[in-house]
Amino acid sequence: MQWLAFGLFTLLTVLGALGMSTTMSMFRSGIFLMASFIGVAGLFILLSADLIGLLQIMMYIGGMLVMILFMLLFSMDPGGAMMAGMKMSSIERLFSRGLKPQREDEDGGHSGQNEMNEEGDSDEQKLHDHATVQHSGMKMGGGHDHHAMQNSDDRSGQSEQDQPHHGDMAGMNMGDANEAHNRHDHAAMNHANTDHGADGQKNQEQSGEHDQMHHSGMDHGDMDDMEMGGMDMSMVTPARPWAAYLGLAVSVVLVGLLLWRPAWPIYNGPFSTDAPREIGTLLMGKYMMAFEGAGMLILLGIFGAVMLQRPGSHPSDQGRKAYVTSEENPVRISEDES
Amino acid sequence: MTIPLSAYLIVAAVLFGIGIYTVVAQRSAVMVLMGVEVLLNAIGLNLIAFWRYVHPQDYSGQIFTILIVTVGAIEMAVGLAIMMLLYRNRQTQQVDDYQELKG
Repeated sequence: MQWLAFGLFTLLTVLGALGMSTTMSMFRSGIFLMASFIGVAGLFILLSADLIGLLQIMMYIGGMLVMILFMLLFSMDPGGAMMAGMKMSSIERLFSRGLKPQREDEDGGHSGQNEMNEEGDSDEQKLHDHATVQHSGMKMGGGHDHHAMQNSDDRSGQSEQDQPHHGDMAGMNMGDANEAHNRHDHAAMNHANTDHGADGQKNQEQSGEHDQMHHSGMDHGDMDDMEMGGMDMSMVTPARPWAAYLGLAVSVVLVGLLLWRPAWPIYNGPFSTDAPREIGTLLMGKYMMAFEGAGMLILLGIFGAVMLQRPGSHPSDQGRKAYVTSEENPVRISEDES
Repeated sequence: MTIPLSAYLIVAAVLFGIGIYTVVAQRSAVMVLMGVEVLLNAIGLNLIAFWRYVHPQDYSGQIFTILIVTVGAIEMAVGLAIMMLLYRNRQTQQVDDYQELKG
């Protein structure tokens, strides 16, 4: 029974963390992170640290995860719709292969915001353009078999096949809101393909697709904040395999150390299970200074966060200055055309 | 107590590896912060496991875990505030675009 619970929570924890790091949808990775937190809280409770388990759930899920999911709204592609197509090119991404068709059902729903990115170097542009093209092939595939679409090493022919589907893709198999998001995606892709044309070095066969996407890209007017949105699609750095090896090596080293020195003196005697009393006594006695320090750190953190977010406080903040000057003569809402 | 201590430690090690990978490989700053959270979770799991199996009568391990959770919360708050600031300045959230922060 104990092993069953342990296995369950371990599975939840590890799979949650793994899915968090490998899925392309940031929103989904937040949800995976929540699963991982719950698993860790379950392990805590299994270790008879009930208070810490509850604290884990309350602080991590109640506090931090809400902050994370809020911050995800500012990211370029929280739903991972745009980078879903570049997913299949690496072995590491086998983990997300199962995740991806599920994400396709909702991929229009979360991929709202893109942002301008002035300073991307050309290598990454090419990389992202690859991603864009793959993604466009997949998006245009629409309701078709996504697995087939995603194995798009032969994406040139595939995308040409998919072009006729592109027009009805925007209205296909999604609701109205998703339709709008799809349009956003297409516009972002337009910009990305513009960059790709500027590169001009690879994949001439996609120029036709490029033009067609320009034609089918709608609503250019209301997405001025989405220019070049397709550029930074990859959620991972180019150092990804290296990072995978690093993580694997860290795990192996830790487990190896564990096997190397397996014997800690295990205490099997009785102990007090009145965790709040014990913790409170320790916090008010032995760890008083640590408690005070943590409280002061929280205070400083809150104060610092508020100070950082105060509008107009930063002298070198151009965007904020523009914001403040535009607010000096505010336009009435009834007259605000935009 | 049928589950050995090593099982928890292995879980924590795997979690730590995944966290390292996430921190290094992810491009978005939010994902990096998520990886840091996973790292802190692994540390807390280690601490609680050692507390339970080695010194369950001394609740210092739980105190440390509470402190770690606190530090994680502060780190998340300040990190997200800084990220919001950077987002307003740079209009991007990818850590590669913050390279001129090196000076």
